[in-house]
Amino acid sequence: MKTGSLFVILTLTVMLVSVPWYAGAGPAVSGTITLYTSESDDDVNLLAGDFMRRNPGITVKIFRAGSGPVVAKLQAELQAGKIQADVIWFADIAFFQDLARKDLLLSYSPPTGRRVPSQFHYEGNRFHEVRLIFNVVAFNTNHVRFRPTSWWDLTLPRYRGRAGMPSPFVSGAAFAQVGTFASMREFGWEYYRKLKDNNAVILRSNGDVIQKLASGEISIATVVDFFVRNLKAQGSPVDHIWPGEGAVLVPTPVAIVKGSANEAAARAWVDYLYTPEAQRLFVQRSYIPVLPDIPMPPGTPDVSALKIIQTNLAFIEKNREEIKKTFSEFFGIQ
Amino acid sequence: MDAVSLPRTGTGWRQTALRAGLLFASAVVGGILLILVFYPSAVLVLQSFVVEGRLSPGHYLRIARDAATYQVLANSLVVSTWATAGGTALGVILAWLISRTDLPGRRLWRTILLLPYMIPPFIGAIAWVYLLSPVGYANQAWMALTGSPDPLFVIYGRTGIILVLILYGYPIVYLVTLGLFERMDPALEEAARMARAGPGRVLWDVTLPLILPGILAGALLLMMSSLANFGIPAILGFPARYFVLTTRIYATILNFDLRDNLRAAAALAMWLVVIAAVLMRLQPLVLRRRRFVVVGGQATGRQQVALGRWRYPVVAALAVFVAVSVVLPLVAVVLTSLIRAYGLPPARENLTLQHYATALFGIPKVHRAVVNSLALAAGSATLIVILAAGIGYLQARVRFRAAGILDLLITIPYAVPGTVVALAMILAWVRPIPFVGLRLYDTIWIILLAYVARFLAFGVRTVTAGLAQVHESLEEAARISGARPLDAFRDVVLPIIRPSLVSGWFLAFIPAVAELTLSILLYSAGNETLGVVVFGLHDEGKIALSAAIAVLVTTLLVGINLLTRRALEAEVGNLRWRS
Repeated sequence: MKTGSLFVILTLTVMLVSVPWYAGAGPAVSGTITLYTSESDDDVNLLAGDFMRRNPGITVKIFRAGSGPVVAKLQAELQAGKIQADVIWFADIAFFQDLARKDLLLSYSPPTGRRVPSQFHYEGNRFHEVRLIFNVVAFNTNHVRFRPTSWWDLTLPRYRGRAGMPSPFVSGAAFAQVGTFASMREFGWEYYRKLKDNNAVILRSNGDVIQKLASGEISIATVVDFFVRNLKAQGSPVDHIWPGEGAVLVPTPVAIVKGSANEAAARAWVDYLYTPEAQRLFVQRSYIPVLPDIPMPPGTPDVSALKIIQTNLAFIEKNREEIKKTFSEFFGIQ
Repeated sequence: MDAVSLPRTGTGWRQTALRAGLLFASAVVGGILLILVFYPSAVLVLQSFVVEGRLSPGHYLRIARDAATYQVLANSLVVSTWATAGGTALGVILAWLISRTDLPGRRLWRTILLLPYMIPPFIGAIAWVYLLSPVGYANQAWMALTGSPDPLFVIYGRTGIILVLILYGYPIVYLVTLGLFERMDPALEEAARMARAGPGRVLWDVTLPLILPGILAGALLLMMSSLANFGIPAILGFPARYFVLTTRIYATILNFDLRDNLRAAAALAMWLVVIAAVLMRLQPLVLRRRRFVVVGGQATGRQQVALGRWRYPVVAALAVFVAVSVVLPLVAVVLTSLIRAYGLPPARENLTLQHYATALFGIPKVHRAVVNSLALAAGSATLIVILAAGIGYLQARVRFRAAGILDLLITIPYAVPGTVVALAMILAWVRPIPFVGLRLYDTIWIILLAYVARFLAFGVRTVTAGLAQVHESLEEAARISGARPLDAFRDVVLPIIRPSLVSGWFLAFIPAVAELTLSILLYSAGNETLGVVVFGLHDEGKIALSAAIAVLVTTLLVGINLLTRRALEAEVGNLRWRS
């Protein structure tokens, strides 16, 4: 009996240790990882807090800023020789592609099986989508009498001086949209010329836009969808529509930096983001999850039923400087 | 014989040792300043001439061809000129009321009028956004009262920037002028009065001409401070797409898609350096005229101007001024920090302390920022005081042939705007130091280094003033009595200059606690400062949260300031400014 029970205990121990009950919670990984991200401050802290509770040995240090400033930091570090982050996560997929091409990102496939559509693992598993965000048309429900339907609503005279969008110099999502629209025959620079003629307000971040929408400082805006649903759930007078031309899918990849001093912990973090627990936290903050079996946030249609405008990566990559220059010439901002 | 000659040889040996010691100390101090100031400045200038690895004036040419440059330059000059004019007028009038009239409750007013000086300007700007954004409390109240569909006044843009610069800048001129009024020899005015000049004529014909150079010097300081300010034009200018040089440089540093953006920013920064240099040169020119001024008499038997029936109208005007410029913005910040969701009316059911809880416990970086900022401020203040004691002592004891250069090295980082200092630090320390392999960029040390360089002048000026009281003979006496040089320094010099060391420490500590301009460009993961966190959360639209932290920071700073008021008043002589 003694040998028997000892055997059982040993086996159980080995199983417990070697078979992660969820990916990443294997043999205690420890250390500190540095995460550079444009993810909303309270959201990323919520996730990191939960992650650290489940992985007591790991500390996540977060550098948070808009995608623009985050990339500026990475650029400065690249010029100096080495990226200081272990994990990066922000809304400038063209920059991720550039890094992947320079072989600076680790190819890693998180153990999600087939549950995550393969289109969300990019460039040979070098970067990954962990939840979906879309640029949509949002509005203040107290100010807007007719529910908008189209991106062109922002150019209507009745919203003169009261239509807003985040600066593409700060928000990666805004940059992706400006680049994509500029490349489309349907919109082109004409769209932004009209916005400018309508005295559109260029704000800094998406957070800034949604706050000003809620407070009524602006009436209608381009903004990332989850912000709107989140604030609506809190009782703010905001809502959003899915524009008829399509919502702009904004890739916001996560990647592990090659040569990270703490690769195991970095993997654990990426694995964690794909766990049902993390995906549910995303949903709790009104994001659309990438795991198919997680219930969607209230009021969101099925992704497959949505009309989606894909980001025009090739165009953006080729014309980065031009896009920003033209935009800043229009609106006089940097 | 021996008994007599021994001490003499001893003295000779000691003299040599003293000289060697001073030489060594000079080398150490010189070395530190070279690393701290000279190297980054040189790198900044050099890099501004590098285009894709080659020496070229390309960035300057491109900037010169860009119409936006001149627009931004004009904006900078317009904003700072108006701010200087307004702030100077306000500062002089207030100083006159406080020091020269029988205004009731003058001592209280004296402190109250300094309150804006204790609040970090960018927090002040945020407060004004809460009041006068298109949906700010004041505008909402206006629209509710009048039924007007349009706000009364929107704080974004040029006028708002000028107004807020005035409100947070006038104390510079106020402090300087207060000092001038109080130290002026009353005999001159007395003489004018004996000649039957009325109070108005005395003021206009005697007093003002006497203190005019001093006021102009204060105005120059205000001009430099306004030109260097980053927080106010960043917070009030961005929403109106109104850029000045400092915010344009900041945007250029972040605009990574612009080729060679850091070097382009360096070239743009040279505009600010040139303007700052011109203003610095004007300072001694203006002050030179001060030699004809009789300042220095102890203020005894000064006759106050009787306000008479104007007494209470003046008090009422002051009260309104303070209510609008200090109380309202503070109330707006506190209210915003208590409201559940931004935009909700401030009714009781919408009030919550939740944001304070989130600020203190929910977001780890806030907690870290408190620790970082206090540690950075205390650390840099301590290093500054030690370095200042060394520099001051050497300046007093050793006749440097290069004294002018030494002075320049101390002045540069505080004369040029913080944005430029930060850029120089990035360019200088972004690569690992050769051989050592240590990288300062992305660590907390680069922020410490920048703070020390930036605020060193405050410490040096204060300590130098203190050391001026210690005559060399005191030390000599100690040495003759057998004390070793270091003991003489410790036992004789140190006790005398201790008060100025303490003031110098606080003078460097206070602006560092909520520093924004340097930190926003130099911070990295885990190394956030309070200024960065408040600015960042505001930028991100986390309005209530940034308001809650702003309340905590402001309380902390006003508290420290009030506790160390003497140090604050010493700033008059130290020509301090912030950005």
